[in-house]
Amino acid sequence: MEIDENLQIFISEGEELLQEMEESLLALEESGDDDEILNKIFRAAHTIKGSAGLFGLDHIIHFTHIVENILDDMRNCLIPISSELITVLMRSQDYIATLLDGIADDFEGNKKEEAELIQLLTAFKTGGSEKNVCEADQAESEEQSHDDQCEENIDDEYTQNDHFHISLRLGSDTFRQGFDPASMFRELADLGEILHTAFIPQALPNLDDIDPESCYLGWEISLKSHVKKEVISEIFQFLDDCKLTILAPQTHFSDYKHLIEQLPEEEMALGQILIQTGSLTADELQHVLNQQKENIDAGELASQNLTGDILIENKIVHKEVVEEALNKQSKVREQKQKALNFVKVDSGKLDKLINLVGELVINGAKLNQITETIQNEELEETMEGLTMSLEELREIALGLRMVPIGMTFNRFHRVIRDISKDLNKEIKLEIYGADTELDKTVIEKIGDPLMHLIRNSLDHGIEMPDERQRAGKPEEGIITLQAQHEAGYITIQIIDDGKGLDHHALREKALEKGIIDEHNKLTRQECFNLIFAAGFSTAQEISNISGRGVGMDVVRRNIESLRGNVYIDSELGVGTTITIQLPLTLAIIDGFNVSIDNESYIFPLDMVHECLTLTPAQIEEATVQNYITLRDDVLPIIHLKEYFDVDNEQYNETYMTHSGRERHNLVVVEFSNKKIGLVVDELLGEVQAVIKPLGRVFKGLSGFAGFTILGSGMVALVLDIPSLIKHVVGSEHQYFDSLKQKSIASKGNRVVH
Amino acid sequence: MSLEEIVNDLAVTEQDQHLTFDLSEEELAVPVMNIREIIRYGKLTKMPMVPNFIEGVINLRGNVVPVINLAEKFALKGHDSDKRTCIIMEVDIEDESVVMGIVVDKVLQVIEIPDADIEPTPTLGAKIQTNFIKGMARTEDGFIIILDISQVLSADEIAIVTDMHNNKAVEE
Repeated sequence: MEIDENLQIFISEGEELLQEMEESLLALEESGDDDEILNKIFRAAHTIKGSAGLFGLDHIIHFTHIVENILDDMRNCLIPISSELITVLMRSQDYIATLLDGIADDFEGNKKEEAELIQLLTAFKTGGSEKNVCEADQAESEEQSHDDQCEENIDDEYTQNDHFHISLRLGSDTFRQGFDPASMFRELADLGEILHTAFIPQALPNLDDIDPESCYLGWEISLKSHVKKEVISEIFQFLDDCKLTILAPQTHFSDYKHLIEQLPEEEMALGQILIQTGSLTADELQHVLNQQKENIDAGELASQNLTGDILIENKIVHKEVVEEALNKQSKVREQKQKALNFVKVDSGKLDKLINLVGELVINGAKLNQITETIQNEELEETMEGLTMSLEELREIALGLRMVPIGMTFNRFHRVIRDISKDLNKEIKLEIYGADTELDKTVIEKIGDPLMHLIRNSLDHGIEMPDERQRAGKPEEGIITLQAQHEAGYITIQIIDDGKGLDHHALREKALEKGIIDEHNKLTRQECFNLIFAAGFSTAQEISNISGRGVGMDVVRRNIESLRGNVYIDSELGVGTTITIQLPLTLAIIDGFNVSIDNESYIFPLDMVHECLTLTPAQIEEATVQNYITLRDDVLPIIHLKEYFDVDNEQYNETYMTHSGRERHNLVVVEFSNKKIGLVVDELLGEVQAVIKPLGRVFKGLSGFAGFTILGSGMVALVLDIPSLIKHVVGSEHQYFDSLKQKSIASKGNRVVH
Repeated sequence: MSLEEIVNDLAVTEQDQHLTFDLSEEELAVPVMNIREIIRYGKLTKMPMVPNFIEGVINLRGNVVPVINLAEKFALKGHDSDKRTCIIMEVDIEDESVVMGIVVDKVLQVIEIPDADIEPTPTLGAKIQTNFIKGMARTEDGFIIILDISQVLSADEIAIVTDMHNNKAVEE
């Protein structure tokens, strides 16, 4: 099917709704029975069905309709909420997601799966209606009596509180007139007991607009006291321009209604505060607000209502009607707020914007150079202003790509629920730092590695409940996901309180698998990191959740491709912590510029360990073999010139003839605790580099992370250090091992480690 | 002539327009539809570990654009002229629009070559591999070779870049 713009919106909104639905389903399972959450789930399904109708997607309507029916029955307490039901609903939600996914390819879903789900769903329906007689009925009658009670309360039209409610908005000149609000509170406290005060911040302007001499304060106060209303109002009598309402205990509802109407703040916000102060109960508030709504509906009565003649007061309104009205009201507000705060933008547009800003910055730098040569004061001033704006623009543009990691984290609630059920384990997920922001590209790519790691923790980390009990731990295992910023990096940690890792066992295993040999002496940390080696899996038997031994290897590679690191720390019997370190953004890096054969190449600065000029002895060493001796250590080196132009014979000839005259500089880079030296011609210094992808044509080229554009306007390649290191350590592993042996031999039994 | 006919005629004209250029003493043509702009050749960054026909990359207003040396690609006699021109083209490769530059000796003119005037490629006698040629057009001065630009810059051809490097890695 052709995907037009509207359909695209439907799909992306549908995905969001499904995400919401999943979160709500999980919350529902947690809370048991919550009308608010049930309503949310129902609304999600209902909206998808409705929107699907607009596009004539009958297969989606058909299935969603069945789900909606079940949800409706759940709302009406006809079907009890059970874990099994939620599992089926989640599967249904997944199925709707595949239907949405399939729209573009005209895929109308797997009919077999659909039939199975429908059967499962309807089974609940019939099963539920039987129970209905015993359980649900009872629940309903309870609710009914609850309703009756509310209505009774409301019926006599007076609030149940036994305290004064004081609503106070100070005038802007209060301070200028020499009044101190604190003293008013002291006087109030002398009259009785202040039960609750709620500060009303709505009148506060933005920090920039604040006049320090003006007063923007307001409170809602509940005061328990036996004095007369007049005594309280005396405290405030000298305040000229304040808005003051004092409501005696057991006031008539209309007075509250009047208060809410009169004040400038949003009704719902105010209503919440009234509940907080204890002046109104939730039911009373609904009643008050409902009255108001009715007033508005009854247009012809509007004038009378304003005079306070309230006809509707005497009507008894059913709770559901009130709820409906309140829902409607709050939903409209929510949407209004969302629309105000967010604008959906195609990420492609953002990328274009960022590219354009990068280009502006480059041209700005050029212009700056020209300005310096022309030496015109006016021009220089203008240029300075422009440079500042450009820098700000760049900051903002790069910030646009930053998104909180919370969405990615929340996905794992479902994963953990499903898997722990499969494994018969009890596991809870705790999330910290969900609002930590990270580049969108990084977020997209970190999901899969995180999934692997969490599955591993679930499968191998957390023990079975009885095992945990024997170890003196609570039966429920905890997996903690946390993210935080750390100087240019973000760290994500996956912490489980499971059985931990035995580094001796890991070493044994690695020996057995031939990943290391007897001579390798490994630190504790290095033993843990063996987990990330290719072909290493600690699981005794392969399960369908993890344990194929490819996972961790891939995880490490994925993280490294994001220029990140991963470490493991663990204590036997206590738990395991996996720490992932990631750069904040992929789009811009601090680079180190070098030249090779008159072309510029950029090293990521954070991987540069040191730079040095080779001594003649080292040059000689370097020309005959692929390593040098640096401070008594063997350092593998790559002659980048040779590496780049291996096939170019003509070039090799020139290289041979010219090499003697060139200075040889060595850049020592370090990544994943491995160091190599790269021979370059010249060291040119630090640069800020905006990384551009290699693109369609060069994406297969290994050894490079991307392009960047230098201040001169020339394109330079950004080196991919991890892949270069892998090239040396990987394909020439054996070769280097033999070299090492040789060098050990030549130095006479000196240990090189 | 009805409006519809005029529109059709315009569309046809647009499609028929070709840019001709000199490359190692051959006159070649590419459809104007694929051309984004023509720029002066210069300030190129050489790429390591790529086939020789990839001249390098240039900065086109903040975008990195690969530049292909057609003479090298077609194994024509090289022409070491200082003043060369780069034609920036946009080609669809596997549903993805890719911008690339081709280096030519001299841009000549835009001419109309209706489809009907394009003759099939002779199997013999052409200096350029026949699968890169869409056809030949006869003019007063002789034949113009019309390139099948999507073939020249096709995914298969570009994939060589990747393969070549991989092969190299294997050899090592």
